[in-house]
Amino acid sequence: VTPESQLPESQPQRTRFAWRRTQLALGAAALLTVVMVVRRDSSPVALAGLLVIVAVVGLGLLLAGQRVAAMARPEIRPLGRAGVGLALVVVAIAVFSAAIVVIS
Amino acid sequence: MTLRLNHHVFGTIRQWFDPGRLDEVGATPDYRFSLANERTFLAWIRTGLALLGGGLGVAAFVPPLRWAHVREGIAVALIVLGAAVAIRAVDHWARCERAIRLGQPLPRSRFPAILALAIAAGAVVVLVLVLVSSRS
Repeated sequence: VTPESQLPESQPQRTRFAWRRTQLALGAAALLTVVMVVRRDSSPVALAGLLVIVAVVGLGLLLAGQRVAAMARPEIRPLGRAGVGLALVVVAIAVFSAAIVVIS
Repeated sequence: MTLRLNHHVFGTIRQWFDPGRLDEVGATPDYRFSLANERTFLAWIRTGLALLGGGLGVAAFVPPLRWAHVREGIAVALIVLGAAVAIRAVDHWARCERAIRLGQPLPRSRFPAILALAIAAGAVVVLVLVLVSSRS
């Protein structure tokens, strides 16, 4: 008996769900960043940086959304630059957060 | 030696930013393998985000400890670890994709074991710090 999870047609669906979970995690990290900035340092510079980070996270969510849409197409393209884009979004949040923690 | 190392490092980074070059390597694999590799990449990204979230949580919600800057040190360490995990996720994805296309064994890595040990050791240190700090 072939487990349902190994059926070829379920693979894109599983990958789509993995992207959705990652979108949720990215949203939660962005929310925590907002809370941390509000609690620790609400100076104009920090708030401007926060706006930039929120825009970067929005870009990451958009990239993820495009990949989810790609999973629904008959011919699935390889991951491409979406992977490194997502990793750079995480690094951007990390650099900003670390700077806020150190400065404030 | 240094020249070769630089070439290797820049070649690796170029592979991250131009994954289309991977299409020139080996043969197109069964798409299920590529998707499984992609899901593993996403799982690592979520691990990085969880570490980042842990660091943010420490910075935002943990009360100041007995020693100055220790709380901030823990927060920054977790945040930096999260970023390192995200970068490593891209590198591991690219190396696995290449190995899959070439029909080679998947690359081995000590990173998961090192990460697990670092998290376990960090958890013990934080527990001790919190207990000692709350008694005084």
